[in-house]
Amino acid sequence: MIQISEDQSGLPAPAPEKYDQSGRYVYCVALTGEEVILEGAGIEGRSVYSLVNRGVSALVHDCSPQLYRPSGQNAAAEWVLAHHRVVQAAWSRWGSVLPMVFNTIVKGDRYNAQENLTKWLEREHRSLQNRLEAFVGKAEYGVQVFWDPAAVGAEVAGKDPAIQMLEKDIENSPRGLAYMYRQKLERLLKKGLEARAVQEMENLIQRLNPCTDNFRVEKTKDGGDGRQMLMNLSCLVCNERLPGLEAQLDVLSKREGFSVRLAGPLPPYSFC
Amino acid sequence: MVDLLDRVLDRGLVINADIIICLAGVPLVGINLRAALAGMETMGRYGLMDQWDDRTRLQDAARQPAATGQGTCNPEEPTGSALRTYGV
Amino acid sequence: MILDIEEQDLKSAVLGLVVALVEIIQETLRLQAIKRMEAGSLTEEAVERLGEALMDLDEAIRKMKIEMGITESVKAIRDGLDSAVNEIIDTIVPSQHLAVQPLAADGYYAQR
Repeated sequence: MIQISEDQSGLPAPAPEKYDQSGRYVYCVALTGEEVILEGAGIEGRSVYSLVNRGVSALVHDCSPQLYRPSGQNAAAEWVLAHHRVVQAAWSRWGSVLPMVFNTIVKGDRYNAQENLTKWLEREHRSLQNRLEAFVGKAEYGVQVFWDPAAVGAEVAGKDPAIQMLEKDIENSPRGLAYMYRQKLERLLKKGLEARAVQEMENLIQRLNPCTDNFRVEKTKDGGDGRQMLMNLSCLVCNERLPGLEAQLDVLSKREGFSVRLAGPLPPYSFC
Repeated sequence: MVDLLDRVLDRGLVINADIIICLAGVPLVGINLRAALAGMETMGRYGLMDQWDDRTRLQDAARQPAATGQGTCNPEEPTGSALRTYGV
Repeated sequence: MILDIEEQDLKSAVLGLVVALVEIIQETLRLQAIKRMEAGSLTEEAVERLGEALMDLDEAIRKMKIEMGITESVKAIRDGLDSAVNEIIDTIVPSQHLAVQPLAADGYYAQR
């Protein structure tokens, strides 16, 4: 059943090719030589199967050789989740997967899509196998650290002699002068908090580094409710190191003004 | 949920060959769509698959009704799984 | 007019440029190395040294990317600090020294 999509991207929708299933939608590459078929497991209920090449396989479904365009928000959500579901299932079954970037569809040219994909698997075999083997027993975790700048700032203010002096000056000054001093105080506090943020981040990385096999510093997002997201990390962690990571995060979350969010385990999307 | 979304949409292995269909420079999933996806309530209705019956069929622990859309999903198909985040 | 170039902004821009440049250099080196290796024009020693050099570059790039990530995060923190700072000041300095005079009924500031 082919949908004519709403135009989400400003491009004309492609003509429907109902009977052309010559494309291959690739979910992931997995460390396995097993030939499996998963009926109805994929996007839009498609059957997913493994295309095997000497111990390394691609999980695919047959599709028309054009990009998927969701026909609405619900469809898009289904699509994303179905994709992840297949990746997750492959991961739990075979212990190691390389998730494909979303919406990867192999097409045919001189050769058909199946041949193209098989040839790619063969060409990249060594590299894929090495990477897959390196991921065995590891998972990705999202680590987000939040702080309450007001709480930490009070501490910063308490320790900074320049700020202490300014506080006194403000108390003893007429209004106009006090206003100017306040401006200065604001600047000092901001600088102090910024410096503290850098310090905390570097400290955090130093502590978490030995608990991970690899990590990436991601963009932070809005913390909400007065908290700021201090740091957003994607961590690749082997099972043996996980308790250590959790211990560090536990200690951190007990500090005044700090909280932590750990998401995972996930397949290693960010380390492909 | 947002954690997963960003990863699934943006990350993963890229096949650097011309055997891939892609539209250079066009975002495949637009910002608005991403925002809509992130906020959607239907996300909460999916559950994580813990087992996989190997031979042919994917068994679902809890069959949930398909989210209403514009008819893209066969309503008899299992709609799958939940995503857990572990709060510390 | 004095331009107040924030240190973090500058740092971020420079880091970005350096990383981009180093990655290009690294890729070029790698391609050259592979070509010469396949042509047989490198000794085993030379291959080993090249390999190590490329690995060092990898590590350097990785560290720079971490640094960039930190810089970006700090910038985001800085941009969100205004309300927090106001809150802190309100707690550490008695408010009557800083209070804005309420508008009088006729819209003008009341007499001090």
